[in-house]
Formats: sequence, C-alpha cells, structure tokens
Amino acid sequence: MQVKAYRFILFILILALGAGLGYGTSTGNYMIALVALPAAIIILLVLKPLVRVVTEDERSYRLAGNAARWAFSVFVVTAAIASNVLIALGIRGAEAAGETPMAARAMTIAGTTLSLAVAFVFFVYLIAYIVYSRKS
Amino acid sequence: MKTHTITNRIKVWRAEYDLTQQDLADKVGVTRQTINALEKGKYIPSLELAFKIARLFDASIEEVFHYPD
Repeated sequence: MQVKAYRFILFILILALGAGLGYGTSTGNYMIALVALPAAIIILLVLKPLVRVVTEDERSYRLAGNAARWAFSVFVVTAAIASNVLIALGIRGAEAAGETPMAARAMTIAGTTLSLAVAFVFFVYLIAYIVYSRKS
Repeated sequence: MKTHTITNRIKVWRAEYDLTQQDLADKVGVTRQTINALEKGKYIPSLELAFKIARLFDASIEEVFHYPD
C-alpha cells in the first residue's frame, strides 16, 4: 500500500471515529464509542505493516516527545489553575447561598475531578519516566 | 553553555551519488521529510543515523557532518 492511500484511510478513519463518538455521546449510546475506538485501533494495526515506505522515524519520535512534553505542561498548568478556581468558586457559592446549591456543588465536583486528573497524569508521567530511565 | 550548529554536506554527497531525497531516505530507513530537515539544518540526527548516512556515501562522519570548533 502506498503512503498516500494509507494517509487517506487514516483521514477517513479519524473522521468516522469522530462522527461515531460524537453521535454515540450525543444520543447516549456509549456502545458505539466502546466499539468504534478498539475497531479503529485494530484497523490501524492491520494496515500499518502493509505500508511499504517508512511512515515514522527517529525525527517523528523526537517531535512526538517534544509535543507530548509541551502538551503535558500546558494541560497540567491549565488544569491545576482551573481546578483551584472551580473549587474556590464552589466554596464561595456554597457560603453565599448558605447551603450548597447545585451549581456550586457541580463546580466543586468538577474542580476536584480535574485536580485528581492532574495528579493521575503526574503519576503516569512519573512511572513512564522511571521506566524509560531504566531502559536507557 | 555555548551551542554550536552541526552542519552537513548531505546534499552535496547526494548529488554526487545521484540520489533523490526519497532514495536516500529509503536506503537509511527514514522519511523523506527527515532528509529534507537534515539538509536544511533543522534537525540534528542521532549518531546511528549519522553513521548510516556516512557509510552509505562510503565516507567518514566528519566528511558528511561538521561540528565547528
């Protein structure tokens, strides 16, 4: 398979996956998302060995590493600030209302979830760093 | 720390061997974009890739890549 055909299939697959996930989420049919994602991964795993030319090399790995590091930094900083703001707004909302209204409670839950997500990402990063340090 | 830019003569060697960027990329197992980035000085290769390129041209690394003093 030529690289252009592979890229075209990849493009169509991403479009189909996005449409499928969007449709599944909006209609509340989560089975679509559960099936679509593994199916797309399997199709890619089957197609990749059929491509004759080199599709990724050391430069693409280095670029991916830099992009991942940048995305990690942006996500962690943004999510940490956003979670603090949400929790603070949730507490203030609760204080102002005398009791915890729905919006304030939702903000507190969202903020707490976000801060847990940041902690989880940090944990995964740490594990990955240790694993890769031992390899090289 | 003062950094130096590693320059290379890949384009010259490629012309000498009458190879296109795609030919060279296929022979050393990278993408054409990587060869293009190397020739433009935008990307510094790994030691392994530098050796592969130098050996393909039957030259030493110093004959292909130059690290200023």
